[in-house]
Amino acid sequence: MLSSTAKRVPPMPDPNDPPAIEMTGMNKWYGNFHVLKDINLTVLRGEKLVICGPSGSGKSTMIRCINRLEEHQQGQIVVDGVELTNDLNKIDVIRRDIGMVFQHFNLFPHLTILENLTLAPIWVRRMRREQAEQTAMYYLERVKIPDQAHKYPGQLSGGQQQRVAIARALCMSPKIMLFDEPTSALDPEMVKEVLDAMVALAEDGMTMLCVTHEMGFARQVADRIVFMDKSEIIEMNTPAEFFSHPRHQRSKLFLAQILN
Amino acid sequence: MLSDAKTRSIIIQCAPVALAAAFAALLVSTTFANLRARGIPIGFDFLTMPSRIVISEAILTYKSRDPYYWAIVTGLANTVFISAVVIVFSSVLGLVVGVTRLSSNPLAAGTCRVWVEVARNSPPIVLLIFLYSLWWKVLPPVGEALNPLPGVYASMRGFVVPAVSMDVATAGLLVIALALALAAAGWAAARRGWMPPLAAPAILAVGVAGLWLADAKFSVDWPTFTGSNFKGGKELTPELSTILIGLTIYTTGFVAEIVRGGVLSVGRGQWDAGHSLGLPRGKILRVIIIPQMLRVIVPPLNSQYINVVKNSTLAIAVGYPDFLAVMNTIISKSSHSIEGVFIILGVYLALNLSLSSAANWYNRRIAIVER
Amino acid sequence: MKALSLPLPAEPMPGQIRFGALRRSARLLFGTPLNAVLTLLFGVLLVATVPPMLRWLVIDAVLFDPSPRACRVATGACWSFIYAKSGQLLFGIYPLDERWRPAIVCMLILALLAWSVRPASWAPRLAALWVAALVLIFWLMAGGFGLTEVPTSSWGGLPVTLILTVVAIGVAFPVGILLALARRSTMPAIRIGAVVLIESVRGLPLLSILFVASIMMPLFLPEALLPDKFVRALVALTIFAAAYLAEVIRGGLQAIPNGQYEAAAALGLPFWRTQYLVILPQAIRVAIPALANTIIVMIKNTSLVLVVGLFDLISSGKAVLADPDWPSPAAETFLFIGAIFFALSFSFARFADFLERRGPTAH
Ligand SMILES: Nc1ncnc2c1ncn2[C@@H]1O[C@H](COP(=O)(O)OP(=O)(O)O)[C@@H](O)[C@H]1O
Ligand SMILES: [Mg+2]
Repeated sequence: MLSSTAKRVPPMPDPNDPPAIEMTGMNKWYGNFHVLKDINLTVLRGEKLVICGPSGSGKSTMIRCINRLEEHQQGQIVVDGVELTNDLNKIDVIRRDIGMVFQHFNLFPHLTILENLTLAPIWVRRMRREQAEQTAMYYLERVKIPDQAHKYPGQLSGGQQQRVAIARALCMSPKIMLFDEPTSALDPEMVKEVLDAMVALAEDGMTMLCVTHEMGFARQVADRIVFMDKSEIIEMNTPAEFFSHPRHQRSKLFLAQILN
Repeated sequence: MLSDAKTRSIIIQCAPVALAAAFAALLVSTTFANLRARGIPIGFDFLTMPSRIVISEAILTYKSRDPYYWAIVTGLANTVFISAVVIVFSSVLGLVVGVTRLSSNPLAAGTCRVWVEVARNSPPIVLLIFLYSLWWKVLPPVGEALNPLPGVYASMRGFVVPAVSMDVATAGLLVIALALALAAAGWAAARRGWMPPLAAPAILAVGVAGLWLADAKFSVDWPTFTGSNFKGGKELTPELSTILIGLTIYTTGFVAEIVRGGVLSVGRGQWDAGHSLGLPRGKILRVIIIPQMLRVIVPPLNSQYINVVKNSTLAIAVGYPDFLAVMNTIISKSSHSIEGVFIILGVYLALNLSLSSAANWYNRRIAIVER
Repeated sequence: MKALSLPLPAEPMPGQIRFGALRRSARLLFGTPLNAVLTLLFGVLLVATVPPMLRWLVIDAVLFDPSPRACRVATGACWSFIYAKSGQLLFGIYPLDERWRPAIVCMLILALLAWSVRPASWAPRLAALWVAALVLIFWLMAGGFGLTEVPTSSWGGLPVTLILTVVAIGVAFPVGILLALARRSTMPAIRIGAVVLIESVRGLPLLSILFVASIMMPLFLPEALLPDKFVRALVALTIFAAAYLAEVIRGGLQAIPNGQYEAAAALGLPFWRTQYLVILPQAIRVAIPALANTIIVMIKNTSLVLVVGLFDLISSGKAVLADPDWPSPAAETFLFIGAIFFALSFSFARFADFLERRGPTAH
């Protein structure tokens, strides 16, 4: 199964552009627990990264550091040329450029789908309401649920909610998208509709970091796969290499478990 | 610089602190200026001076020649007495009313519902004033005093009940026995088997036996009716009786709702589970239902008890001298308002804090049972 | 213990539906030994108390006869007194010729309250409407600009009760929200300040706060800053209500999952926007039942201002009773006042039930 079928050729990231994200020597602790050990990772513009690894290995923590939902304690994170520090203005700038999709959707239950999508454009980007609604409808069509615009999140299926969450992030026209296990809270029959939306996004050339265990998606979309275990990045490789010749013993073990 | 998270946090914190400090400084300086202008010294020396204030009735003995501190203690004793009596009676009545509200009998449930709604929707002070105004309307003059229970008389002049008198040593022993019984009950709550239901009564029995063996001075003084007056017994004035009855009626309504909520919080599934394990009804109730109910009931019940202490200040509406009323008199009599305010704040905070820490302790105990 | 009828609804037996209503109630009343005992007990109680009460309240009562003499001879309640004195009872010592003003104020407040409880009218506009109404109310009550001026010391009765309730709760609500947020803040000075304020207010009886506000404030504050008695009571009530509302709102805030904060942060919403647009609407909705209970307590609490010398409903009741021409029907008067409070808080409680049934997320 490891020999994959003919693969779509992604737009090659230009190595001369400044990288979208650059983490150097990053460390983080929760109290005494060293949750991220010396993370060095450069993500180029337009690049798609899939991050995998056993539960508790620090995947979520790492990508949440990128938009400052978690604070790192050592090392550097530079997003789009801006270094993340305590400077609140810089944090605002960086958050505006990064969209995030969560495992549990985190839609705002008291707002309609349309209001969920227009909230940030109106209040953060200062967009006019009509324009924000137009943008929202455009992205709802892209994720194929324009007819749900006036419902509340509680009235939608899990797969639909997650697609709304993707559309909500896109409404802010981010340069980078972070996905934290977007399909693991979904029933199996809904996984595909969400992955389809993500594939479409990848084809548009979005810079993407996805924590996911959907190896089919990884093979189809990822430029690189990052394997984490016990707070460290163990291995980083193209999907073809990673799946056929995992270099590390722990990667082999993980692949064996996940593919069977 | 201003956008740095730490700097901003410090600035944000400084603003209200500075504001509070400025306000406090204004308060202190004007207070002292005002006091100096009126020639009032500050200090707690006045507490040992004779108060010469009148306290119309008291649980303790008090004469107007007694010093201020004793007046304060007397007021406090009145407050504690009212609170304790109301807490005990409304807990028992609230249990009965709350459970009866769940009965399938419409007559019983309906009557209890009316009680609960009246209590929850009328201001306690109006309830007290209303009851007080009824007193002379409903009750007969002394000569025709009602005698609903042996040894209990009710008339326009209030209630007369049998008085229990004991010497200090006996009272001390009794308190110790009660405390031991309570501790045993708490300990028993953490255990299962045949011991728990027996532990508390056993210790109480041992205590009473001990009292008897120690030849404690303990007597009941039954009131007798002489045709125009009562001899012996303990008289409860209309004011005190109104407060005790009114606050009990009021608090019972709230306790009943808490009890009802606690009973309903334990789903039928728990009974079914118990039955399916073959446990007898009594056992299910004791080891499955009641522990879960207590977890729901104790925190709100405790805040009701604290409310009783707070509501006891309403005694002022019918002219009964509780702690706050006594303090009010003392402040206007002695002009030591600053000291008085500190005593008022300190005493109520201490009373309520001790009640809530007792409840927290108990909560931790039943939380451990859960695990 | 076994005898207690715990919430085990009677098993529906086949064919039960065909039983007549009479049979069904008979079964409810006497179906089990416990129910029979309860029926007997409460039957005796009701028979002993209800008929004499009815006789006093209605049958033997004087309803409209305007002469005090009728009340002296009657054995029942003297409602004609309430009827004859209703103006003074409701509006206290407010100047006789100007009573139409507090009357309009009362109707305005009650109408606005009724309007405000419709979920359909919940919008920022509603707050603006209330502010406008309050300005109008204060103008009507205090006068000026063409109306005769009436100092707050002459205000009395129902309008005082209503204004105190509405303004204290209205101001306390935003203050309570700020206190609740402060108590959950990560900044220690803010958090500790909020904890100390909330817990000390909640640890004290309202009466002691009213006393401090009313009797001690002249000492604490310079003459120029000293508000009048009405405002002092209003401030005390507001602080009191704010502390309790803060705890209720904090309970609602605790129910909001972290994901909501994270989603808002990831979208770039700053702190206050996040609170206002995302967190508070949900937290308040969760807290509605508890909020309603607290507000009922506050409605009842305004009755305490009489102790610091404000002329609210109870004080005007006491003043009315001093008329020597009448036989001083105190029980009737306080029953009437109690009924007003009961109506206010009972209807609010039913409204809260309705909100609770409506569910926290439905629209
Ligand atoms: N707020 C926190 N406080 C303490 N430990 C945490 C916290 N969040 C996560 N952790 C711990 O950090 C480790 C990594 O967590 P996470 O990044 O969520 O792992 P993953 O997403 O790879 O499953 C886990 O062991 C988790 O228990
Ligand atoms: Mg994770």
